[in-house]
Amino acid sequence: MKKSYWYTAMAIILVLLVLINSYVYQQHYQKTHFYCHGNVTVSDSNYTLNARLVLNFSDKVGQALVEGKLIGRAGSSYSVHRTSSFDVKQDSGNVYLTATSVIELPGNTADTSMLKGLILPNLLTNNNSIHLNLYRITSKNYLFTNDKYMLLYCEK
Amino acid sequence: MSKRYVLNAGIEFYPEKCQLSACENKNLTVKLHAPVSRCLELLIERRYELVPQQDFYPYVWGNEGKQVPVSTLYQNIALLRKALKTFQEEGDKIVNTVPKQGFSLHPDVTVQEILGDLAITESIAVQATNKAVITQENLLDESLSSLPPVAVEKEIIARRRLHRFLLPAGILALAGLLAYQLTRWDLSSPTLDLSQYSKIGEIAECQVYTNRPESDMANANALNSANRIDCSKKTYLYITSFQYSEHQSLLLCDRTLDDASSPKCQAYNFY
Repeated sequence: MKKSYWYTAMAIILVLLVLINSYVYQQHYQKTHFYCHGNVTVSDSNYTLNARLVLNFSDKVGQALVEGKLIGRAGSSYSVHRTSSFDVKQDSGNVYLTATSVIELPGNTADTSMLKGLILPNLLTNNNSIHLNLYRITSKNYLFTNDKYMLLYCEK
Repeated sequence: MSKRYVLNAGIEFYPEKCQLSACENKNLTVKLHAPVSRCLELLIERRYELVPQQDFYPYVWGNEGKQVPVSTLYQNIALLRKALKTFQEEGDKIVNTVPKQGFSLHPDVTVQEILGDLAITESIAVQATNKAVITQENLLDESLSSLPPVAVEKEIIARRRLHRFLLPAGILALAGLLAYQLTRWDLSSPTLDLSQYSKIGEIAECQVYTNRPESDMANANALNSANRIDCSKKTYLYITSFQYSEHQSLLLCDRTLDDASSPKCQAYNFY
């Protein structure tokens, strides 16, 4: 092969590798770094929680914010304002979250015991781990679920 | 600005003086006939290609070129070879003959072009792309112009070697990075199997889909009325039952979940 062709071929391969690497990195980044929010209504025998849930994933760490209203069967009403930080481990569509910090925000009037069972345990207490399945519905929409409940449908 | 060329790092050619001289022995010079000098000048100027015979006539003899026989051209080339051989044993091989077509410089000949004090070195073997890089490099790099021609040539050859090494090294590094990324990162994104949901009927304005075909409409109605789900704005209701749990989840969407235009949904969970 003539030297000129050899150099041209190498230059093309180099450019292709740069493009493929960029594409792979961008795909990985999109998968591990995203923000999404959605509305969820959760009911048990005592309460109904109408909340807006915001999730922010930045590779191996993430944050969640819950803001909403907790309504008792007797008509009592409580405000829910909580935030949580967690470690994230992603493996294909499996997401493992381990809470590292759970904070009640100003204005929160709902006790942790009232919310037990209504929101994810890692949004209530530290060191709680949960496993979720993450499905991509469209390029902007995600569905978090596991074998017990459909947690959240959220959009970017 | 006077121009001169150094061939094979040993023979200096002054087109304006029609003269060849040895780089290392300034006393050794050969005065060329003007046509011979013009032949060499043309060969150097078009050193990346075969120069056809017919191109020599107008370049060397001008308007009179039409009357010049081919034997004269060959005679001048022979004189040129003889002059070049004066300086180097293999000097007569600097000019290649392609029978009945033309002449060219031998691919291994290096040509260093010197404009005043500024040196530009090229090898015939180096292709046009390299030529552009090296020419630019020399014109821009003022530090080279202060070096003697031989040092400039060495510097340029070193840089060329570096460039030759950089390209494969870059490819290797990027291939390694790609392999690392592909082995470490799982880029697959599982999608929800929507085929497991089938339509079981309608409640108010909602079309009801469920992942348990045996689910009856009574169950859907009970869920709907107990939770006052508003079907006026979002009309697609997905009921999800779980294998290991009695809990049920609803997704109320404004479009079907397989709609590519990002359906907006609200999730409901019942314990």
